[in-house]
Amino acid sequence: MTRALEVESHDTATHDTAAARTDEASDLDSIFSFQELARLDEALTMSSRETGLRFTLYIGDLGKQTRIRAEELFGHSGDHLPESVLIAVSPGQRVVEVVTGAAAARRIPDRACALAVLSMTGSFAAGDLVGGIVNGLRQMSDQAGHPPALRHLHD
Amino acid sequence: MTVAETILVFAGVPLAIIVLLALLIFLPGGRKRVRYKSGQPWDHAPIWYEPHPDGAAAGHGSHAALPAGSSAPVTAGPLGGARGTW
Repeated sequence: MTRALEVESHDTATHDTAAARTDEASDLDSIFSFQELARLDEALTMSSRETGLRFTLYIGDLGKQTRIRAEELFGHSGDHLPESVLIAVSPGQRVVEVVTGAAAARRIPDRACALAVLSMTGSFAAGDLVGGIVNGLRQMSDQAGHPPALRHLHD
Repeated sequence: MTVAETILVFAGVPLAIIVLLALLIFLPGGRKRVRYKSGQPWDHAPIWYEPHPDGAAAGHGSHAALPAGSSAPVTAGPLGGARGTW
């Protein structure tokens, strides 16, 4: 689902390492600035590490039946579907869908998702996509908490 | 101060400042990324952001790779979530 990256190599790849990310595409910051991308990246990574769930973020069109499309996308979002959470934002349709797997739904009940969605839509309506997403992620990861099984890894 | 000097100072200088600011603002190439406003169409290709996998620092995280060969699709069970519009 991610856009195919246009590879324009500057020969930064070596025998042991891949090419630098910045060499893979020239328009990485066409939607968001690098600063905003860094905020998104940190929010996704830190909430995933903190909770042990896997938060992914889809930004794009969701078709006519947004819920069905979002659940379909969720099915392709990785190997750990029960512990996954997909936030699908369609700015063109002004819709945001949050899909949680079975195990994730026990830790983030639908009511908590609705609250996070409410805070996201508030920011989105004001034109602040990144801020809304970061705040929604923060709310959901706060709700999910830090499971004891992960505690020895990060302390 | 002659009439010409007066005009130059009191009309020419403000005008020069206004023209300079207008050039700085409206000259092309300043800002190519349009800021999203609610209600605008979204013409970008769909994009999917993922968290970084647990790196070397995290050791055996909870997202360790599945053993090869488990091709059976993992069912996510009943899905939860929420929906919102703005």
